This record gives sequence, structure tokens and C-alpha cells, in this order.
Amino acid sequence: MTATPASRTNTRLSRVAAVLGDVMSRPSGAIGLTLVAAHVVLALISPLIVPYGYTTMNSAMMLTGPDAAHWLGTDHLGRNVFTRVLLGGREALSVTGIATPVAVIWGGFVGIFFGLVGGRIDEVMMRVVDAFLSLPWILKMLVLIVTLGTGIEVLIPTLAFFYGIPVIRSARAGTPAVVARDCVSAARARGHGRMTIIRRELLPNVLDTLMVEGAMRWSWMLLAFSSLSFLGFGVSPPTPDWGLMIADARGFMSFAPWGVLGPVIALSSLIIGINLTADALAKALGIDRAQKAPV
Amino acid sequence: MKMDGNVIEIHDLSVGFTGRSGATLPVLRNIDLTVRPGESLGIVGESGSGKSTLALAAMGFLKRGLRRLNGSVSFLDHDIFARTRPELEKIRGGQLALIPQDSGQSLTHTLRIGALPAAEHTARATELLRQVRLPDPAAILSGFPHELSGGQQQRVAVAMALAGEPRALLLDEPTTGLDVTTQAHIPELLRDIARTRGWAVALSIAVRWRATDAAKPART
Repeated sequence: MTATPASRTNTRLSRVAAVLGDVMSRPSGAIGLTLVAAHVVLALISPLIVPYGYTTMNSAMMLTGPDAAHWLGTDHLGRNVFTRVLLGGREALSVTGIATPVAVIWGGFVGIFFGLVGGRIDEVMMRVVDAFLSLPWILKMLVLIVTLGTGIEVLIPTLAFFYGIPVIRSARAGTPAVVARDCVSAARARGHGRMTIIRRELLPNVLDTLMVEGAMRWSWMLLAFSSLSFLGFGVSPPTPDWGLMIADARGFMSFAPWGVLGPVIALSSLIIGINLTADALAKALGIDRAQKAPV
Repeated sequence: MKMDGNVIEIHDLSVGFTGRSGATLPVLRNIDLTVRPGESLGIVGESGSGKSTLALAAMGFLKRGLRRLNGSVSFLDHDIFARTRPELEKIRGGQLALIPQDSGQSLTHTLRIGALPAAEHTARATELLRQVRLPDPAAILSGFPHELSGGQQQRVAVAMALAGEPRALLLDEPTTGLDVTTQAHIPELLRDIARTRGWAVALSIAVRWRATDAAKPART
């Protein structure tokens, strides 16, 4: 039987299924993946199931507590908090869902490339990466966002750029061990160019690290996106967003805590879910040194 | 292409690396050798004596940390170290091919043997696997390197080296780690292929008694 494209696809699918099965067999993976899947499904179907419009205000119902009609109460404008919590993850998931793969792809490629090239250019570029990483992330992002604006067209490339920089470091760290292998020397001896070596020899061997790195970066990016919204540099009102909801409701936290608790629980459960999944994925792929641990 | 000159000429080649103390530590020292068309040359040396480094240096490739201290390597009368990277990439695997020491490690373990850039290459790959006397080439192509025996892996490496119809073939201890029967088959196979194709040269780099069996009297 020749390795046809169809048989290669089947092999890849069975590999993905095996890794998913391994992740789900671990308590952390099962909980994490369930949380992430629940959030993604809710983000997709929430416009169809929300009980109220997210901009529908009721001046007679401001800051009322949870009841049968308003499960998470209402906010200071009389808007249904449950509706806004359900819809609040859509923006964050869509922005970070695009920015995360972009960050992993460009950061991974640059890291692998410098790991392959080595020498002085690698040394210089890694020091540039160190310099970037030494700056507070919020400062770097605010400079760009304040200069260019707060739209999605700015947020996605900004997050992808800044969160791709730590990926460079991880990919770079994983590459020299692969470059030293005989298969890379043999590929060079066969006359393969750098791009072919990256694509066929290095990337498949660093992919596991990049996948775990991507999962970790996704959770960090979600936190960053919500933090920017909290500070007023993310999405604009009245778009429902967890960070923005927390910022709006924090002034009433002492007597109307549901306005904060709803988005906080939603955001934390998603980030905990992603982190638990990343942890289980690292163990399933054999990257975590404590992979024998049951969680 | 020139046929009457030396195919490979190494003159006064020294390769080394700089140690932590800053001192230069040579790995190869003042190597001189020439290989003419149709000639086979065996190089014998103990482990760590630099045979693999010499084979790679003959292709203009030095592993990270190593550098050429002095001397030259010519392939078809052109200085190989003076060539650009794209020129070297065209020569390697084409006119000048290497069969590595440990094919189990040299074949990419994440790729199937038949993971070829284009589907039309499958027929050529099948033909090459038949030439190296591998039964059921289709099964070999669909397998991963770890699914093959050491002898099968080595034959796959030979087939890969043959793919470019090389003018010179460098063998870096091609029978290391193989059983005695396969150790006898690989040099025999290479001699047969070289004879039927009328190759200009085959440079055999080997160690222990097998080198004398695979090539003419050795020179170092």
C-alpha cells in the first residue's frame, strides 16, 4: 500500500484522536476540555438562546438581585447580566482564537529559523527577544493600541505580535536538540535547503512544544484582552465583554456583587479550562517532565 | 562535465573547533587525498578519528562549531568551500551523495519513507527501492523508518543516495550496527550498482575489517 494523501490524512486523524483520548483520560484534561468546549459552544449559540437583548435597558430594574426572570440580576443600566455574560465571551474568543494561531505560527517559525541558523545572528536576535520580554506587556501593548486605535483590526495583530515573541523563545529552545540529530545532517547532505529542513525535519519535531505553548498563550491572551477591555482599551460599549462588564460593575460591587461575579466566573472558568487542557496536553505529548503524574 | 581529472581532491585539509580556553582543537589535520573516476577509496580509523567529519567536509558541510582551519576540498576541479549555499545544495544529493552511518537515525522518524514532495515521484521511488533489492516497495514506502529493520533502513538510505545519479558516493560506515549477512550484502549491492551504472567514483569510508573488503587498499 502506497502512502496516499488519504492514508496520510487518516494517520493524522488517528494521531489527533489518540492525543485527544489521552487528554480526556486525565482528570485535568477531561475537566479542562469540557470547560473550553462548553465556552466555545456557548459563544456560538448564545445569540440564539439569550433571554434578553444585550442593550435592552430597564430603568425600573437597575441593580436588582438574581431572580427567576434575571438569573444573574441586572446591572446599573437595568440590563440582564446573564444575557451579557453569555454573549461576553464571543468577542474575546474570536479575537484570541485568531491571534493565538497567528502568534504561534510566526513565533514558531522565527524561533525554529534562528535555532537552525545559529551563530551571531541568533545570539543578537535572542537578546532582542530578551529585551522585548523584559518590558511589561501592558506597557508595550498600550503604546500600540493608543497610537493605532482599539478596533479588532488593531487588537488581533497587536496581540499576535506581542504573544508571538515568547513563542520565539520556546521554539528556539526546542530546536538545537533537533538540529543536532543525524536526520538534519543527512537532510543537509542531501542538499535540502533551509525551508525544506524547517518544514520536513524541524517543525514536526517541535510541533508538540508549539501546541502546548499555543494553549498556554491562548489563556494569557484572553487575560490580556479582558485586561485591556477593563482599562477601556479593548472593545467599546455597549458590546458585551467580560472585562468591560467587570469595569462597569466594580463600583457597585459592595451591594450588587452579581454584576462582577458573573463575568469573573465565566472568564476564570475559561482560563482554568485552557490551563488544565494545556497541562494535560503537555503530559499526553510527553513534554511535561512530570508526565507520569495522574492529573 | 570533466571526466579525466580528479573527482574529489582534498589538499592539506585541517578542521577543528575552538575550545573553552580559546585554543583551537583540530579534528582533522593536514588531510591529503584524491579520488579519480572509477576509483574506490577506503579510509580506516578508530571511533572518533574524524571519518564522518571528513565525509561531510568533502561535501562542504561542517557541523556547528567546526571550522576549516586550512586546506581545500575540490569536487570536479571546483573549490567546494568557495561555492554558494544554493550551489552546494544543488551538488549535495545530486552529483555528490552520502550514505550516512546510522540510517535509523538519519531517516526522519516523523515522516513515512514515501513522504515525497509530489505524487509523480512515487514511481521513481519504487524503482529505486527495487534496485536496492527491497521486496514489496509499496509497503516500504507506506511505512515509517522505525517499522523497518536496520538492513532495510540502510537500503532505503542507499536508494535515496542513488536518486540523484551521483558522480561520487560517500559511504560513512554504511554497515555499522548491521548483522554479518547484511554487512556483506550492502557493499556487494553498491559494487553491483556502481558497475551497472558506470559511476565515475565511489569513495567508501569505513572502519574495521569491512573497509578492506569494500574497497581497494586504504590511504589516509
